[in-house]
Amino acid sequence: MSTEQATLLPRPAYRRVDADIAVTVVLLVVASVGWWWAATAMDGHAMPGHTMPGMTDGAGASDGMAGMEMAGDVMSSSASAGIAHTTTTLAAFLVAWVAMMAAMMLPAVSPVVGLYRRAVEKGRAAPLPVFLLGYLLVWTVPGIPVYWAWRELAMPLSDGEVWAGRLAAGALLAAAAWQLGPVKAVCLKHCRSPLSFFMQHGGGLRRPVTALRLGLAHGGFCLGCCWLLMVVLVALGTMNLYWMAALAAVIFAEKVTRYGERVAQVTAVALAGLGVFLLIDPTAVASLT
Amino acid sequence: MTAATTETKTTWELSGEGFEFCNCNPGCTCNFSGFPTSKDNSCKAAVGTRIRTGRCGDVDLSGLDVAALLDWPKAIHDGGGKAVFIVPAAVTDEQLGCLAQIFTGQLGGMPWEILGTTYEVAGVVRAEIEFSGEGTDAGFTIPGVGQARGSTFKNPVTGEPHQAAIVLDDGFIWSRGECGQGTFDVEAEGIHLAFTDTNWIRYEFSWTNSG
Repeated sequence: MSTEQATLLPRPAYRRVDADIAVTVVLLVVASVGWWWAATAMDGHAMPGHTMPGMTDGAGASDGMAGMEMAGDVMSSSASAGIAHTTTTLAAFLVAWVAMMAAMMLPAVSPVVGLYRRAVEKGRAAPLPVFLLGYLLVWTVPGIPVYWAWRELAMPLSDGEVWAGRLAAGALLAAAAWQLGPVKAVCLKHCRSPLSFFMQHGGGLRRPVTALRLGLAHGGFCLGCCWLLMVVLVALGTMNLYWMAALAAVIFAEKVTRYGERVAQVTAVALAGLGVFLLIDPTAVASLT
Repeated sequence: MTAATTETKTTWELSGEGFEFCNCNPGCTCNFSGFPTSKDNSCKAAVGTRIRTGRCGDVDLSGLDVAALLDWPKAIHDGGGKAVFIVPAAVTDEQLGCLAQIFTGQLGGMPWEILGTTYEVAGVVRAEIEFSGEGTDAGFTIPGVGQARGSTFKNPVTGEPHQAAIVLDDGFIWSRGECGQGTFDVEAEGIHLAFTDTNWIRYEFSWTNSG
């Protein structure tokens, strides 16, 4: 290696790392603001929520015409206020969710993104955001069911209710099994081999539609790889920074390091261990969230 | 960025036979798990390419023998590689221009559309590439650059030839390769590669940027 190369190489490398760190920090800030917004919106909603059996009563009452008529104007106004509130909270939640997914996943997909970015820089591919959009869309959709799970689980988890602990144990055991299964292996293989991913699914990357489709495809493999790890995160309270960091580290190690398949297996053992522990003592879930 | 707007519609197609020698353990892991199995995690290769039929726009590329020395410091997808292309004296400037555009991905088409963005071209050397041998007992010699010699795996017990092939239905460089172990020592334009009993694959290829 010549001396001029030795002096030339590190600079762009550092700049790229700096940029990656900056992007991750921004995403974490966006995620925090989103969480705060969602939590505030839900708290504001919680009081009327408890005293607002309007929606459930309304649903029950709709069986009989009399009930519908009696509920009348009061019902519809409180229901629409509730829906508006839910929409705001859901929007805030999705902002936080997408930012969190991006923050957790981007380090792990950096080899794929880096390869794609190089193609963009040389004019061989559609702009990077098009590819990333496809990827993030795949991770946005699960945010909708996760929103309901988060709302239902927040209180039971902090109270250490037995059923919530058993649910978390189930999620952990399911995730452990998934880690060792064939679908995970196939998806992980695609995630770990950026070059062959593009070779197998690529061609015509300059067309934005192709770039978007590739982003969706890659997001699909990523989802197949990690969706049960996200279920674990949700079952343990969704917004827990420690679990987020731990799972992000696992995902990064699985996808980017040389011993990724081994990491997936070790993770399975750890998940199973924690699952069994929670089965024995479900109330301990409160101290884990 | 500007290149994207000056997209050219020149179509090209190449098919023929490839001779790949690299520094990994036998069996090209970059085609599977994406990470080299070489000692220092790098990917270094000497590749001979016999173009049986080929064209780029109106330019005929059939019958050309070319080669490349490739040196990536890490996995291929991490980029930062250097490439030296070797072409015989008989290759015209027009043909060379076409090959350069194809192999650096400028004309699109897999695998070069992506692969071509992972290295910079360090130089082009004019030299003859002499292919020889049958099956996996084969290789090439490039006067002034060096040589690459492959052999069939040997059964560790009986010492008999042990033929191995890798089939990749959706492989990105080739779909079926005959594997063996190879030894190569080549040097050009500041890239010196010398490895013994490492990966060697002989494969059929068919690449195009149309369809």
